[in-house]
Amino acid sequence: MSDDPLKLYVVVMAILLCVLAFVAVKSYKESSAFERAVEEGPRVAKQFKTNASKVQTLCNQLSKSKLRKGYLSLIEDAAQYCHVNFVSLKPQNDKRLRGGGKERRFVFEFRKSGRASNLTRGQVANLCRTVEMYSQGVLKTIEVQLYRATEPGAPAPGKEEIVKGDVYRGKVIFGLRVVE
Amino acid sequence: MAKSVGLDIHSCGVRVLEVTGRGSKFRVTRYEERAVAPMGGAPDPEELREVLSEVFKGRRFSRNCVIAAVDAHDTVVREIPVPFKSDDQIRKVIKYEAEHHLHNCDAYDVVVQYARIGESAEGTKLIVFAARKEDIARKVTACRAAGVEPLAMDLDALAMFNAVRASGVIEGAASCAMLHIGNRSTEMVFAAEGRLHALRSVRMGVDSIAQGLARDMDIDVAEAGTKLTDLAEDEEQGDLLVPVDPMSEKKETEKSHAELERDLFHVKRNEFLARLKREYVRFAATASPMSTPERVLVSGPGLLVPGLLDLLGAKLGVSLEAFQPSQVCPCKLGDTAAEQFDAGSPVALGLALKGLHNDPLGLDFRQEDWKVANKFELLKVPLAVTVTLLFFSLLVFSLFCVTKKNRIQEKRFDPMLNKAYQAYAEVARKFNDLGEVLVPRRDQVDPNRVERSGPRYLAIHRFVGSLKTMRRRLYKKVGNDKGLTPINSALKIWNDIFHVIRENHEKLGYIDFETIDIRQERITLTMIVESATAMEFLKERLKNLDSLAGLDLEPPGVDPVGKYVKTRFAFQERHRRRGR
Repeated sequence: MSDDPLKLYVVVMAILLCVLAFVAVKSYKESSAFERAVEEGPRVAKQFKTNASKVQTLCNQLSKSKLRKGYLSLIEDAAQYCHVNFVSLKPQNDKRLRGGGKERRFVFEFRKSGRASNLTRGQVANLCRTVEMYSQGVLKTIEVQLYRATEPGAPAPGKEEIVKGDVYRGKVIFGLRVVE
Repeated sequence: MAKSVGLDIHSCGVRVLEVTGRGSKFRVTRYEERAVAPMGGAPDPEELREVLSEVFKGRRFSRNCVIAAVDAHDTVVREIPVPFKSDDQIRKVIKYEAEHHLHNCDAYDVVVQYARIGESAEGTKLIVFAARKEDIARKVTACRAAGVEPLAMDLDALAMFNAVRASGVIEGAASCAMLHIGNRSTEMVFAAEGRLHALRSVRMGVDSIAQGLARDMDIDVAEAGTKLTDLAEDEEQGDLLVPVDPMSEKKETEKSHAELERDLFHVKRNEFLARLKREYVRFAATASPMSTPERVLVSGPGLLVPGLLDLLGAKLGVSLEAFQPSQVCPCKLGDTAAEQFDAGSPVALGLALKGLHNDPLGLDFRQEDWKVANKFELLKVPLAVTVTLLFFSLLVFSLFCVTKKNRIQEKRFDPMLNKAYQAYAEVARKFNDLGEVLVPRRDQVDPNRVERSGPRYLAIHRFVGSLKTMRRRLYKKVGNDKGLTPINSALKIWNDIFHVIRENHEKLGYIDFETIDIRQERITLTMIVESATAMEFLKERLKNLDSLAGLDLEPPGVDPVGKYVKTRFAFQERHRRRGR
C-alpha cells in the first residue's frame, strides 16, 4: 500500500471515475434510447398494426383450411366429398421456376378403370372448387386436361351445349408455389 | 488550498516551513527549526534523517510539495554575456559557455542554471549558477532517507530574495540590497526594480565569532557557542549601544573574568563586522558602481547577535532594515519565538513560495541525473482536484440521466409497451394455434422471451420484427411469397370461358367439347360448333375475356364434320409464340 494518502486517493478516485464514466455513458445512452423509442412510438405502432393485421388474416385463413393433414389428404377428402373416384393421386416432381422458387404439384388422374369412372365437366369443376375452398386458396388448380371419353352423337339443333352423359377422362394438377 | 513546504538544510541543522494558499495570497501555517551536529561541513546524515523524519511526522508537514535549498556558498556564480536573446538558444549553449568560467570543476559535474540580468543589442547578460551534482545528490538522498521527495531545488540566496520580493517590502524601491547573514556564509543580493541584478556568497557567517572565541579562549566551538549565547543575553539585558572602543574604558588588569570575555566577544564581533563591511563594499561597488542602494535589508541568524544590525549600519554608513517575515506575512507561529522565526525563516519561506508558483526566476537545480523522475508527484494535487471535480460532475450527470430514463420509462414507455405486448401475445397465440403441421415447434413464438431478450427500449421493435418473421413464414406456407409469380387458377379461366358460352347460348347453338386443356401458358379447346359464323362469334367473345388478356389466339382451324364444323382454339402466351 502507498504511504502517500493523496496518491492512494487519486488512484481510488480514478478507478471510481472510470466506473462512473461507464455508468454515466450507459445511463445517457439508455435515457436517449428510451426518449427515441417514445418519439418513434407512432411510426413503430403503425408497422406493428400492419404486420399484426396481416399475420392475423393469414392465421384465420389457415385455421379455416384443412391443410393440417397434408395436401394429398386434402385433395382426397375433397374428392370423397364430391363423390368422385380417381385412378391415381400422387405428387409430381417439383417444377423449378425461372425467377426462383419451385412449384409443388399433385396430379389427380381419372378415367374409367375398375371401380373408377369417367367424370363429367361439372364433377371436375366441382372437385377443383372444393379443393381450393378446403385449402382457403393455398392450393390452386394449375392445369386441367379433359379428353372426351365417348363418341359424339348427332345432336339436334338447339341442343344444350352440356350434353347429359358426356363424360371425360384426363387429369387435374393442383399445386402451390413456394420459395426454396 | 494548496500547501507547499520549504526545506532549508544548512550546515548546522534544518528549517522547515509550510505555507498554504495560492500565488501571492499565502499564510505560514507551520515552522520548525532543528539543530543537527555537523560532520565535515555538512549535517550528519544519520542524524539528519532522524530529524527530518521526526519533523515531518511529528509536526505533520505535507510531503506532497517539498522544495529544498542548495547552498549558494557551494555554488559557482558568474556573470557572463551570451550573443543570444531567446531562451531556447541560451539553454542550448549555456553549459558550454559556462564551462569557460568554471575553473575548478568539470561542466558534467555541475547543474547549470541561469537568470537574465540585462539585455543589449549584442545579446543577453546572464548570471550563471553552477551547483555541484554531489551536493544536490547528498541533499536528495538525505531527504529520500526520511521519506521526503523534493520536487525542486533552488539556491538559498535566491529563495531569500524570493521571500523578500513576495512579501512586498521592496515594492516601489528602485534598488535594494539584501544581506542574509547565515551561520557559515553570508549571501548578498542586489535587486533593481524588483529584479535580480547581482548575487554573491561569501564564506563568512556568525559562527566565525564563536570560532574566534573558541580559539582565543582555548575551548571547543560548542562551549564557545554557549558562551556566546550567554554573552548575547547579558548584552540584551544591558545597554545595547556598545562603546566604540570598550577596552579603553578600564585597564586590563582591573577587569573581571566576565568583562574580559565580553571584551573578547566585542573584538570578535568587530572583526566579523569589519570583514563583512569589506565584502559588502566590494559587492556593492561591483553591482551598482554609480549609486548606492536605496534600501538595505538584513536577514538571517545574524540578526540574533545583539547589536550586530546597528553596528553594521554604523560601519557601512547606511540605514539597515531587518527583514522580519512575521511582520509582513500572515503567520501561525505557535510556540516559536518571533525573533527566531524572523532570523531562520526567510530561505525556507522563499522555497515554500516557489512551490506555490510564486517564483519569477523559476530555477530548478534538480536537473539531468537528479531530475524528478516521477511526474506524478508534480501532478498529483491538480490531478486529485480534477479527478474529484470530474467524479462529482459525472455523478450529477449520471443521476440526471437515470432520473430522466426512469421518468420516461414509467410515464410514457411502459404503458405503450404493455398495450403492444397484449396485442402481440394475441397474435402469437393465433400463430401458435395453427398446429404442428403448419407451424413447426421450432417456429413457435414465446411473447415473454421476445419481450425480455435484449434492451428493454427495443422491445417494441422486436415485436415488429417477430411479426414480420411470422408473416414471412406464413406467406411461404400459402405460396404467396414476394418474388413468386402467382398461379392463375385454371378453374377461374374455365369458369370464365363457360360463362361466355352460357350467356351466348342462343346465338351459338350446338357446341360439343372434344378436349379442354387449360395450362398456365397455353389453353387449347377443341370443339364442334354449328357453323363457321358461330365459331367467329365465339372467337370474338373469347378474345375479350379478362382472364385471357395476356394470351394470343392462334387462327382457329375449321374442319367440316357433317353439317357441323370442328374447330380448335389455341391461346398462347405472347413471348412463347415469338420463340423467346
